[in-house]
Amino acid sequence: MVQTAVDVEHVGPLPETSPVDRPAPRRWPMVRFLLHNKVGAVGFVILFCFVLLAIFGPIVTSGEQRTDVTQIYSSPSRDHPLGTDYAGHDVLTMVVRGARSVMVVGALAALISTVIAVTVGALAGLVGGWFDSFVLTITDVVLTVPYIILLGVLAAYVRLDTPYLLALIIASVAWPTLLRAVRAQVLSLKEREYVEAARVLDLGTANILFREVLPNMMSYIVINFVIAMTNAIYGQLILYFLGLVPLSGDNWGLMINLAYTRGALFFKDSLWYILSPIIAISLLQLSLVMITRSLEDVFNPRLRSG
Amino acid sequence: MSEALMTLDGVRREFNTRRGRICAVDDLSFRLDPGDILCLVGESGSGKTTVARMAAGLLAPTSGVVRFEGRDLKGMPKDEFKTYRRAVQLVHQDPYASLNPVHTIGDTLRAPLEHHRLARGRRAATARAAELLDQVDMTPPENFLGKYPHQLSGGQRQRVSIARALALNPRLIIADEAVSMVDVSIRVSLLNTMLKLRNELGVTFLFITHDLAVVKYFGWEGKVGVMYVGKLVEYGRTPQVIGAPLHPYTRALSAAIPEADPDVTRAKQKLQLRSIEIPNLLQLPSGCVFHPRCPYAEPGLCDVVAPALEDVGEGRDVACHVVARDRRGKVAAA
Amino acid sequence: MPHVGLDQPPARAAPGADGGEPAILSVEDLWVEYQTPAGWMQAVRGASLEVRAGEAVALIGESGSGKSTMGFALLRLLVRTARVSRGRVRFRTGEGRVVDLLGLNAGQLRRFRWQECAMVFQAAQNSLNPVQRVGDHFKETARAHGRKDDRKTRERALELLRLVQLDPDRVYSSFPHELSGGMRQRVSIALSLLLEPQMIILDEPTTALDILTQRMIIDVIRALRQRISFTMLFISHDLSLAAELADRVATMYAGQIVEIGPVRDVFYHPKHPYTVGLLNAVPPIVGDQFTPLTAIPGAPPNLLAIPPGCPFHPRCPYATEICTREMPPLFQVGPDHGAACHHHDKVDRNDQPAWERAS
Repeated sequence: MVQTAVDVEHVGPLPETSPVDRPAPRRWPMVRFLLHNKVGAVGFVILFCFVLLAIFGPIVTSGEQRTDVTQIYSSPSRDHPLGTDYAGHDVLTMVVRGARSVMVVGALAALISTVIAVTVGALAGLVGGWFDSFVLTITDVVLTVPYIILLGVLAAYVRLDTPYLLALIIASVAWPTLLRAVRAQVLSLKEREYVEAARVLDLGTANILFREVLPNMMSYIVINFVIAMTNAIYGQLILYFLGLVPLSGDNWGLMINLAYTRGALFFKDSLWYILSPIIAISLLQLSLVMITRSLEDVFNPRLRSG
Repeated sequence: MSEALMTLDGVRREFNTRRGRICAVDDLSFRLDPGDILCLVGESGSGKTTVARMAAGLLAPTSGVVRFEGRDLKGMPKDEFKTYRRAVQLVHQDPYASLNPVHTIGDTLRAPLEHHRLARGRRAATARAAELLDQVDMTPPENFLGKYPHQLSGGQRQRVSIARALALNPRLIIADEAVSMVDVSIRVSLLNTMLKLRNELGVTFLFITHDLAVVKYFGWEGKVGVMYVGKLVEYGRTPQVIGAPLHPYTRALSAAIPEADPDVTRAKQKLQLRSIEIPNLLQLPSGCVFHPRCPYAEPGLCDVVAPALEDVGEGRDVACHVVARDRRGKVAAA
Repeated sequence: MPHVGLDQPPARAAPGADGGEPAILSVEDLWVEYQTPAGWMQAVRGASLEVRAGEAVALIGESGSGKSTMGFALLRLLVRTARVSRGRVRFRTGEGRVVDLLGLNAGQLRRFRWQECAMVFQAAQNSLNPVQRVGDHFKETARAHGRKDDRKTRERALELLRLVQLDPDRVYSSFPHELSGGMRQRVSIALSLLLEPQMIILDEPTTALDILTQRMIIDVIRALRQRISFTMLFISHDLSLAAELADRVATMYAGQIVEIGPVRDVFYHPKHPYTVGLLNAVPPIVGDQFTPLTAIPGAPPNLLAIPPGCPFHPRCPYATEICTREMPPLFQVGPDHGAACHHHDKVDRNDQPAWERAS
C-alpha cells in the first residue's frame, strides 16, 4: 500500500497580509533587541566588562610583578584581594592581565575557523558535485581524529610563540564541525524558491552565494561564531593545561596550569589562586552563551515588528 | 514553417527515490510558438511541475530533447545557453518563498538588471525597476521599491515575481501554479496582468495549474494539455478541451469540479470512476495508466497496450483507444 | 411560525427563519482579537450567526476574513495570543440544555468538545498522530470521554469508516502515513462522528486536495448527512463548496458577516457587493462559452488599520459618503436573508458596468 503519489500537493490561498505602511525592519535593530532579551542583555554587560578588561587591563596594571617569596600563596588581603601565587605575584593583577590573551586568541581562532567553514562549506553546499564530495571527505577525516590529540600533536610540533599561532592551531581543528553545519544549512536554503529564482535569472554562483544565501544565514553564522569562540577558549585551556604551550604570558589557562603544577592545591590559603582563573573563564563563557540568546532573537524575523 | 520557440520532444524524466526508480514524465512532446499560451493541467503526481522545471532548464530530461529555438539545451555552448537563460523565466507558486526576505523590492529587481548590464548604474536600474513595477500594475512604483517582501500582500509579491521575470526581457514565462496561493478575488487581476503582458509584449506563456477554471480564463485563446501520471492524455485548443473534453480523465475532472451555482452543481453528472486510488508510481498499471479507473476500459486492449497521443481531428490529440476508435468511426461514417 | 431562538432573537437584525427549527448554535456579536507586536488585531468584529438543527451552514471568506478564527473560537481552540473580547456563544446540547460556551470551565469544555461538537481540520494539517494507528485514535478519543468499552468503540469505528467509503478493516489498522491525503481526511471525518455529536465544524475540508479527491470528500459528506443527520458548519474560501453542500451561506469580510441567507438566495440574488465580487471571480467550468471575470479592485484591508465605516467601501463600486462613516448593520433583504450594505437595493449581480468602472 505504498503511496508514492501524494494527492495533497497544492496548498490553498495563504493569509493576505495587507500592505500598509508597516515599518521596514531596521538594518541594525541591535540595540533594541539586545536589551529586550534580559538574559542576553546581562550577557552583553558582562562581556563588555571583559572587553574593557582586555583593552585596559594590561595598561592599568603595567610593569613586571615583583617576586616576593615571603608572600607566596597568601590568602586575600587588602594588598592582594585575591591572594598571591607561588611566586608572590598578585593574583588579581594576573587575572586582569590574562583577559586580553584569552579573548584575543579566542576571537581570532573563532574568526579563522568561521571564515574557512563558511566560505568552503557554503560553496560546497551550493555547488555540489565532486567539489562537495572532496570537501566532505577531508572534513570527515579531520573530524574523526580526536580533537585533543590532534591539538596536542600540532602544538608539540609548532612552537607557539605568539597568540596568533595558538589561534591558528585551535582554528585548524575547529573548522570541520562548523563546516558541516554551514553546509547543511546551505543545502536547505538552496531549495528555497528565491534561490532557484536567482539561478533562473542566471545571477552566477558567487553572486548567489553572497547575495542570496549567506545573508539569510547571518544569524546562524554569528551564533556559530560565538560558540566557536567558547570552544576556542576551552581549547586554549586544554593546551595550557597539558603544558603544550610555552609557559609565559598571563593567560588564565596558564594560571591554572601553574597553580596545578606548582602545588597550589596543597595550600588552603591559595584557594583563590586556583579559583580565580576558573571563575574568570566560566564567567566569560557564560556571558558568550548568554548573548547567543539575544542574537537568536535579533535574527528571528517573526519577532521583529512589522 | 517558422521556428518554434520551445519544443519538448519525447521527453522523459525519471527520479531515484528511496523506494525505487519512478518515472515522473513519460514521452511528453509539445511545441510553443512565440506568443502562444499553453496550459498544462493535472493533479498532483501528474508531473506537470517536473515539465516546468525541465523547460526552465533546472532539470535535464532522462531521455528526449528539450529545444530552444531549434537547438538542444544539452550541450549548448555557453553563450547560447546564456541567451536561453535570459529568454526563459520562471514564476513560482509561493509568493512567500519566492522573494528573498532580506532584500527590498528594489534590490530584488535591480540585481538581475545590474548583473546582466541591462541598466548602467544604480539610478538607471532603479528607474527600470520602477518601469517593471508599472508593467505589472503596481502603481505608483515608488511606494514599493523600498519595501521588504513581508510588507507586501501575497498578490503583490506575485506581481513582483512577475516583474522580476520580466527584467531580462524574456520570450517565455513559465508560471508554475502562479495564482494558486492567492485569494480568488486577487487571482483574476493577476491573470489579467499576465494576459496584458502577453498581448502587449508578446510574451509566450507556459502555465502550469491544477485549476480548470484558471485554464478556462487565462488560456482561452491558447491550448491546453491534460496530464495524468506523467503522460499527456489530451491536447488541443482550450475551448474544445474544456468545453467538450474527450479523454475520460478530462471528462472526469471537468465533471468533478464543483461550480459556484447551486442548481448547476448539484445536478452535475459526475463521471464515475472505477477506483479512487491514484496509481503507485513504483508500479504503474500495464497498458494505459488510466485503465484501472476508467469506466470505458476494455479488457484485452486498455490493460495491454498503452495508447499513443494521436490526432483525432479538429486539431485535437487524445491518448485513448476507445475515443480514437470512436472518432475514426465518425470520420469514416461521415 | 415563530423562530425558536435560544432565548430571544439576538439584538442585531438576524433574519427571522421560516422554519421552526431550534437553533443549535447561537453566536452573538462575537469579537476576537489577536495580540501582535503592533497591537491588538481584531480578527472577528461583531459577527453573529445562528446554526439551526440539521442544517449545513457555510462560512465563506478569503484570507484575513476571520472565518477560521471564528471557527476555532467556537470550540475555544484559539491560540494563547488570541482572546474573545466580546460576545456570546451559546449551544443547545443533546439534552436540550442551553450552555454558554465561553463560560465553560476546563472539565465542562472537555465534555462539550467532541460529544456535543466536533471539529475536522484542514487536510494539510496533520491532525492525525503519526505514531498511532487509526484504530488507536478512535479508542483513545472514546476513552478520553469515558467510553471504556473498546469493543463497542471498534464496532462503531468500523461502521463510520464504512460510511465514509473506506475499507474498514484495512484502514482501522493502518498508520496515517500509509493513507493518502483524501483517506486521512475521511478518517478525520469519521473520527469526528465517533461520539455522535450534534454538530461538526469543518475547517477548509477540501482545500489542498486534488480535484477528484475533493469531489469524493464532497460526496462522502453529502451521503453522510443523508444517513446521519448532523448539523454542520463548514468554513472555506471556496464558494463552490458552499454551492454544493450548504443550506445557508454566510460571507465574511474583515471579521464581519456581510451577507447571510439561504444558498440559492445568496448565489442568485446576492445583496452585498463583496458576495457579488466573489461570484464574478469564479467562472462556470461547464460549457464552451467564455465567461469574462471581473476582479475586485484593491486588496483586503490591513486588520490593524481597518477603514471607518463599512470595511469594504474602498473597493466597492457602490460606495458613497455614508459608507465611509457608518458601519452598515445587517439589513433584511429577504426572508431569512441579510446583507450588511447601505445600498443593498442597488446591488445586482449582473451589473457588470458598475464593476468595470471601479476596476
